[in-house]
Amino acid sequence: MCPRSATTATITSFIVTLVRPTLLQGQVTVSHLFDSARTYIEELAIDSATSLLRQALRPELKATDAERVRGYTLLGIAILPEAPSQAREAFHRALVLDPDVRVDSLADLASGLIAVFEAERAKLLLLHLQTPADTLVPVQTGRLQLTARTSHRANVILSVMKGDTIVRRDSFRVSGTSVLEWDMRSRDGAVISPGEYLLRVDAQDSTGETASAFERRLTIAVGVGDTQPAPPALDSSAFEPESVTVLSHRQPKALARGLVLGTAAGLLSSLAPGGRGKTDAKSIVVAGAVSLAGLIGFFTEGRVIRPVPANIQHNRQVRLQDAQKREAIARANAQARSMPPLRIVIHGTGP
Amino acid sequence: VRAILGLVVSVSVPVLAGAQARGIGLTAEGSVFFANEGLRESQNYGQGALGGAQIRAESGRLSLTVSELLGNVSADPTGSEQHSLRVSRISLLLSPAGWLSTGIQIEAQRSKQQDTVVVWRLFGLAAGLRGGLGIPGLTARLDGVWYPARDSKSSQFYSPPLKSANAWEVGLGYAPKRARVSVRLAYRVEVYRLSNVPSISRGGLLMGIGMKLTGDSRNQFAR
Repeated sequence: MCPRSATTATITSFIVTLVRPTLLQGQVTVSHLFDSARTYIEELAIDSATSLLRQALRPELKATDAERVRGYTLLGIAILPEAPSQAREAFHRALVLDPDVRVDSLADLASGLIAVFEAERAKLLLLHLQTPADTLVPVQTGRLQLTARTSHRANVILSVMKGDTIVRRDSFRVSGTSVLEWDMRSRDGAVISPGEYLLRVDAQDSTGETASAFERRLTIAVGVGDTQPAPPALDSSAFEPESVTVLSHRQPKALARGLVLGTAAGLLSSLAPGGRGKTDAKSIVVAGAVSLAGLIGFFTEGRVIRPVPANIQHNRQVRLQDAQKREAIARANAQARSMPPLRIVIHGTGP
Repeated sequence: VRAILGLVVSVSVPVLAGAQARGIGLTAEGSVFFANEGLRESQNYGQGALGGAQIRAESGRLSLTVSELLGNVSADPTGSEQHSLRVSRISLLLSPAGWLSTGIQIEAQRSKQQDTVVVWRLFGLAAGLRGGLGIPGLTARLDGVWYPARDSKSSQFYSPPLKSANAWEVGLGYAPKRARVSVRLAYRVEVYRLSNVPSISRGGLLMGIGMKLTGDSRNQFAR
């Protein structure tokens, strides 16, 4: 180390020591330290910059993710000429925190920066996972589906844990976007019991690069079977008229009834007091009334109801289909009630 | 009178409400029977008028009818004196088809002539036919009852025992659709066969007007 550098490092250590309490009191922010580090890099005071950045990235300073991304990026730039592997490591850390971070505006600070940084970005394994927030899965045949997306081909491991016990662990080869399916069974093949679980997804590529683990709390409960409502009763409009009323201009039956019963009324008087030879005037009144009514009825336009066989058959078919539909719904509902699905709630759902 | 009226109202209101709730059709009818009465073969006979009422309850194909007629018959020139008459009937009918009804009928007649009281109790089989006359609501009707079983009691030392009896009624009924009122007009003859003496018959014009108390406002044919 040259005397100037040693002096700068001493000054930097002094500054950091001096500013830390102030920093912790919130008077000097981590961001100010990174600004100073960048100034050192621009002034080619690399040791001072490196020392300042390492101090600023210490956990107790509680830098935000965005600040840490900036810190690692500047650190990588500072040490890139002298320690390229450590620089790549710093870039990697920045990319893990923010895979989309760009260094185009910092290209002047180090030669070949963009190429090295982008090479590191290409190696980075990214994992995105999409899960349903709240879903029902049939017990016997259902599967919980998660959509996984990796930046390149990787081995994705889906683990379901109960406390520290791994209930189920499945491995998937994912390249691009794939659907991870869990059949809701534990390692021994039994349907998983309702309760609280932890869902964990890890990814690792062939070079050993790993993606940050994805963890979600999982609540499994017995859901309510999805039953269908019974269809409404058939409306009268669904049916065709089963009979038609036709007008009849002559009603011989009415005439026949009137005449027969009129005659009967007349004959009945022979049983009344007065003997066989005498006719009771009252019976003549009734006989006349009945016969006259029959005669009027004969000439009155009457209505005759005639069945329509085709419509009767059609209506029978409509009723039969309705009955079959209701029966099918009743069967499905009975099955849904007897075997309720599992309700799965994944807390903190998101990519 | 007030007590009786109150009793009738207090009984009839819950009965009607109960019948309505159970879908039982109740019909009340007032009727008058202008009758001649005497020996069947004789040219002489007495005349009288009997008035009364009947209540009919219908449920499905079953109907139960209770009726009561009261009146006086004038003296018969051949010897029978003026007497009062009370006729009570109960009939239970089944209608297997709209045009046919069959069932049983029980009848009690009480005839009082001065100090002599004669009571006949009759148990018979009833049948009836109905048929439309081509005009909506107008129906022709024929009813017959045959009483093979009888029971007669008399306060007189000697009264000829009743052997059998039969009754016939032919006429028409009018019950307009969607109306609660119905009317009927019929010619009715009753023949009573006695031991050792000629048969007695009673025949005449029967008129009635009825009102449906509960059930569908569509009238059934007056019976």
